Amino acid sequence: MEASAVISLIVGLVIFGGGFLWSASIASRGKGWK
Amino acid sequence: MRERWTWRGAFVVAAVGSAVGLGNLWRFPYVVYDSGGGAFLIPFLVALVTAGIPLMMLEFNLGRRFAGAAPLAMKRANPSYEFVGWWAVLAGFGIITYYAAILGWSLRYLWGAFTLEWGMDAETFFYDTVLGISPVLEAGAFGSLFGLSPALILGFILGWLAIFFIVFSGVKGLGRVVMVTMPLPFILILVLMVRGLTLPGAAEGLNFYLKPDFAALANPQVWLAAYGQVFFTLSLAMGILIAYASYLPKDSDIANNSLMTSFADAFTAFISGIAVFSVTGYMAGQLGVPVDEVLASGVGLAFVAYPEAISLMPVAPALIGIIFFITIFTLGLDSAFSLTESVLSAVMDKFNLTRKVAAVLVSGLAFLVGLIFISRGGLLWLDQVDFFINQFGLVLVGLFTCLVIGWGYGAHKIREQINEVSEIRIGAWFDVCIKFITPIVLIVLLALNLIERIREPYEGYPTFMQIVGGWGMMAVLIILGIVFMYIKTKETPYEDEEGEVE
Repeated sequence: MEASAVISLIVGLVIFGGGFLWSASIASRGKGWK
Repeated sequence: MRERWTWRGAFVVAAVGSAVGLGNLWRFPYVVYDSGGGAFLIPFLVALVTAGIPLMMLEFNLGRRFAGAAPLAMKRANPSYEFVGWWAVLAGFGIITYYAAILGWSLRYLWGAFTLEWGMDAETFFYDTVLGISPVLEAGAFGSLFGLSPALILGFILGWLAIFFIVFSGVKGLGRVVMVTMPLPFILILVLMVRGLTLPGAAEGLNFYLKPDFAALANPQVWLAAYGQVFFTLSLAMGILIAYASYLPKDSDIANNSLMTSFADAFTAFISGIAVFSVTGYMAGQLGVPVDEVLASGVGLAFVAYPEAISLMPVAPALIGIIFFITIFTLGLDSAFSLTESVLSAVMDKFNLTRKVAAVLVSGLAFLVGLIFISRGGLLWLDQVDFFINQFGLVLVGLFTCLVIGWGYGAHKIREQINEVSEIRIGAWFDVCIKFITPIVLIVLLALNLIERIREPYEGYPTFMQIVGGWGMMAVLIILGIVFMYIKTKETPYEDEEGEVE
């Protein structure tokens, strides 16, 4: 797999996966899940 | 007393389940490949932040603040806005009618997966065995159009029974069902991704998917594709998000729930691309052809290209086939019952019907209309109706939502209401997105599609299809929305901004 495609893969996973985990962690610390 | 979600997680999971649909699997990966590969992530993220997330916040807030499905929420914002809510609901109704047909196709394929019934010729299996469309295409006429495809009747009925009983069970039941129907396809996509990545040739497929072409960013069409993808993937402008949020308590978070829903949807689409392109790379290697020769999107990917790739798999291909079509079914089911819920709650609000009566009416009517999509020419009708509802109906609803709420009601008021209850505060950028960026992009999308369709009919389909399943349908949708607005019924009282019951 080419290096540029690998970088895109990592960037995509970090941005979208990280974006979700970041917002979910705020929910856990804030109003919670109840 | 309006029904309520039992907990916040149920609402978020339901919203994610609605947003994550077939488009995540069969549209997003191809759009990425076709629009600059990895470089497309830049316009996609920009579109997500400047259009998708703000519009989702707006819709969530309308539902929460005004405690009603799309028409009632719009009406409570301003009585003259109600028609926009009905347009959203009617567009959603149109989509449900053909979604059940796709559920029928996937159930038929699921049955066939046990023996890999399609072999290496999924195209013939799809067109002849499943759809029975070949005589229609060969005749070049529509004489046998209304003969139902026997292979699809049972799947269609089962799909509708599932949708009916889920919406019939109410918001609490819905909250329990989504705990299965949302995580299940996600887990199965992960399984398919791992299977794809362990196949020879996967790396070549992923190069096609993700190798960035930054020159593509200079092409305005790529940016429009990004905005289009974001708009269609998040279940916007169908009334679903408003209806779901109407079951939230008044103090529920809006901004962060929107972020979670949007990122979960984007992440699922992204890993779906890995599952699709790794298998495509494997298939190309096995057939000794370039990857772009076996690439497909939409119906062609799910029901022709991917099944053929499954047949080529070295270990347990039937099991992969079963997993794949359960994924397709559950992805479609989530979207189908969320759309039905959007229509159902609008009808309940307007005509003071009980959930049970509304469920029978809405499901029954959608079932009857949907029969056309399991006719022998159903695929052609589906293609035509899907194009017009998405490219004209939803874009029009999105545009009018921005205009009446952003400019009429006031984007700043929506922002203040969101900030009162949210964990993350949003700034004035929200107003700019709702009042300028999103409507401008939607106007451009609408104009380009109009020009294209005036030049030539969609897919060269005959005039009567263009009228019945295209322009005529749009005219009916627009007129019905206005007619429903003028039908006066007794409205349930609700608390206004000062907390007084109206």
